[in-house]
Amino acid sequence: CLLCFTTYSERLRICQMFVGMRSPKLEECEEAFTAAFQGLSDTEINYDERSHLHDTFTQMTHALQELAAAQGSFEVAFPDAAEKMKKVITQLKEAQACIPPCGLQEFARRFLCSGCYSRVCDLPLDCPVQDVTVTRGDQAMFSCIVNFQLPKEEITYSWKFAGGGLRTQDLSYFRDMPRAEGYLARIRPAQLTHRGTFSCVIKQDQRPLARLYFFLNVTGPPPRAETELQASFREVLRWAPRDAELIEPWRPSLGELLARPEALTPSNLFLLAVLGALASASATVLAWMFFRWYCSGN
Amino acid sequence: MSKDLKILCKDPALELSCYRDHQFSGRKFQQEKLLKESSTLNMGNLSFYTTEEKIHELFSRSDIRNIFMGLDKIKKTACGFCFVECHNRADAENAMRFLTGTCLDEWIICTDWDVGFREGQQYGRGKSGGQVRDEFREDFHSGRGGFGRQTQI
Repeated sequence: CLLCFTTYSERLRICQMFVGMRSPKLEECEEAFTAAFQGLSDTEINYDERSHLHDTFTQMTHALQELAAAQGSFEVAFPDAAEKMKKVITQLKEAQACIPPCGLQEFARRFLCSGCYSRVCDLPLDCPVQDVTVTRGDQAMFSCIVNFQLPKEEITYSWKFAGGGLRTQDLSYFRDMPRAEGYLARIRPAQLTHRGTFSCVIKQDQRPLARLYFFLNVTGPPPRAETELQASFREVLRWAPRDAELIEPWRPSLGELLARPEALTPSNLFLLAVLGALASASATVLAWMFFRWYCSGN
Repeated sequence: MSKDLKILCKDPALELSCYRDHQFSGRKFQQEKLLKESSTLNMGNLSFYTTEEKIHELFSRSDIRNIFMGLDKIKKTACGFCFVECHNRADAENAMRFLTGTCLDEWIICTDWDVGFREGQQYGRGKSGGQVRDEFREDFHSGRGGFGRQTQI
């Protein structure tokens, strides 16, 4: 921890104050300084307590400088300072344990003095997919709640949906659901078209903390209207062969065809364009042949 | 697809550069495979005074799991590089696209893929504790610790 929260120049300055600017004991002092705090090299602290510990090291630095100015001995001062620092570290708030299975849990981030870096829980941002099964016509409800403590401020929830019955965590399939707000989303009544995966992203100040997924499966019989339609379809099938001979073919004119809404399809427009181009080319060729015959006659 | 049209599909930010970690214990093809699947970036050419908070701000406080600052092995102070661990590959690819060539603390940063942070990797590998590139530097850069170590000797 000493090397993480003090700079090299600060440590050098302390030793220079103890033994002199160019004393032969300068290197010995530096080694003693580092060795006194070797017992704290494996310390892990709560990341939020870093600034507190940094302040404590700053105060220790000032105290050592004052002790050096008072002609103290570094052999006694360094172990004493290390012992006091150890007591301070034991009184710091402990780093909390990670809560599986997912999420960016900043409260559990810990600072490692062995390497002077922090590390968060080794858990994925994407939570496992939760299966939700409802009967058609009933209500489907999703709760965007995680089992770890969220920060109290600036928490937002954004909902997305991947339709077509997909069960996926690939964000490229999802589209925003602007009407869904807050940590609760409900669908009432649920229809077959709602089959798919719903996603909720919990963010704090635009930083994602967790991504929850809910796969909605809608079950149940087809609607009554569909049943009636199927019955009518079966009646038409039974009726069609008997009355086929009575149906007369319809021969519309070109104007009637063009007047229909579905006439101007891209393929029809293309065919019309090709026809116009061919007609124009033919007229041009005929005119050229006529003028050639007329000129050759002179 | 013709050669001319293939250039439209290229993404230079995602191609592997010549940078390789020579301390990687494994075969080259294994390293390349890991690099293509990694979600960890190596950011270099940083100022010695760039802090972890500055890098968080550069990423707009999103898509980052951890930041491991490169440290001088002896002094334990920043020495101009860091490792950025993203949550997934897609986030890392976005970061690679938009941050390569960005200016941070008056230095143009460069980003490369890394197979993943391991304990001890954050330390400089020069004899004096910093990066090797700063050992033999003869010019003066206040943001990179002044003169190179070779010149100071």
